[in-house]
Amino acid sequence: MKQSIFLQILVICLIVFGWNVFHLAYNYQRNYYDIQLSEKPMILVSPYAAMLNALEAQIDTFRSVDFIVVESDSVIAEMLIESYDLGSASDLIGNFNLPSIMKIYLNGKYYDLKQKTDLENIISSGYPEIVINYDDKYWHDTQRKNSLLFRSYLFGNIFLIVFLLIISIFLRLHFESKSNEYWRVYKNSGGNLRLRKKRYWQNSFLICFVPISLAVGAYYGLKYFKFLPIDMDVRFFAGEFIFILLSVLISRIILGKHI
Amino acid sequence: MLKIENFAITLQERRFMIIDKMQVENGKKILIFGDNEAGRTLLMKSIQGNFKHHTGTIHIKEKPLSYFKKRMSSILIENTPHLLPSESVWKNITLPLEKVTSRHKSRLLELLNIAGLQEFSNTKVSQLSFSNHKMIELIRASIQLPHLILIDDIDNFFDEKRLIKALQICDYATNTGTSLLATSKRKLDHFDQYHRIQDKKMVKL
Repeated sequence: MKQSIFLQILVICLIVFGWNVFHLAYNYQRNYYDIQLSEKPMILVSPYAAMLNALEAQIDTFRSVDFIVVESDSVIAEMLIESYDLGSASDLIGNFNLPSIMKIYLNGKYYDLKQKTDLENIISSGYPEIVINYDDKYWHDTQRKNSLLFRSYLFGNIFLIVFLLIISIFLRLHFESKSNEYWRVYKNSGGNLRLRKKRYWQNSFLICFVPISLAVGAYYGLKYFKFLPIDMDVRFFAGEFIFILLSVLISRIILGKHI
Repeated sequence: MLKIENFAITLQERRFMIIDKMQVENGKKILIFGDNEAGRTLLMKSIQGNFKHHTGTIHIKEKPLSYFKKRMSSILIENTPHLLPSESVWKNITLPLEKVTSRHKSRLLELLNIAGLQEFSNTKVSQLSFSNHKMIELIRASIQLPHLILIDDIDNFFDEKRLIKALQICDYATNTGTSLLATSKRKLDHFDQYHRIQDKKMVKL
């Protein structure tokens, strides 16, 4: 019987570890897309630096805005002179009325359709003179990839939950029915009539806590030794625990009076 | 120890094994004998609490059977052996014990010796005879010192010589107050009290 519990714990450990790897892979890919999106700033061009400064004050608190860089016309003139070695023509360049630009570095994680629409509405309604330069196609591509990734993640989770429930319930029922003969003999030999129920809950405790403890331990171990660059929400472990607990309760209900 | 009053088994409107009053004292060995279909096995099962189609009351140590929820008050040795065939004799004997103390060990070795099974303690039960199976069950029951040991059809398992050994094993329990109630088809020697089933009714001899 000890072997059967060990086997059940081992199988559930493998499923839980697989589930965690799946979750980490999702986080990794999602982070990758977000970083890619964050690296592409929205560039606003305006003939008036003051207008950009006013806009900056207005959108600075947006969750999707990571940080803003405003480059005024004088800074741009200096950059041009420096970049193209135009020191002799500096007076001439100074006479041109160069535009100011604002680079909005977005936080890819939060820059969704709503935030994008809000930001563009503010600019187009309040500052119609500002020219927006942003790679919309890239944004749409990233959103599509994110959506596909999320759907795959969702279906993967549903599959893993169903798989975990089926496997753990099946194994539990199989081993419990296999031990029926042992318990029948035990009962008839004068053994404690409540021991089987007690053992069931003792084993359930091990089945619930050992795989989750190992998974949490492995996660924090990898984090501590810096082998894992991605973070994981601790609530995810709680979710896994709940589903293992659910399998234990379902098995108990199915077994009913047989134990 | 055991008190049965106004007892009768009722099956398909048939009423048999009528016991007006039966009292078994502590440490006594009782034999109930009677013909086939007299209801001996059903009486044993009723005392153990596994058979409910009866009238009357059964009390063990002044308490109804429903009182004993954690552990059965009596151990029934039926015709069918309740053993784990692929396990050793020792494992089968110590199966119901929550903890095997050194006192248990020395007692068990004594009892195995009486049964002639000492050298077979590590042998698988499946390799032993039917009579030895019953000896193992008897040792297992005696070591637990229950209120009652019930043996159904004792004459099926043991010849005269083995019966004496079996009762010697039971003495370990009966000396501490356990009562032994056995059934058989014919009268056997070496018991303290005899009850006969005749005309569907049990009478004390």
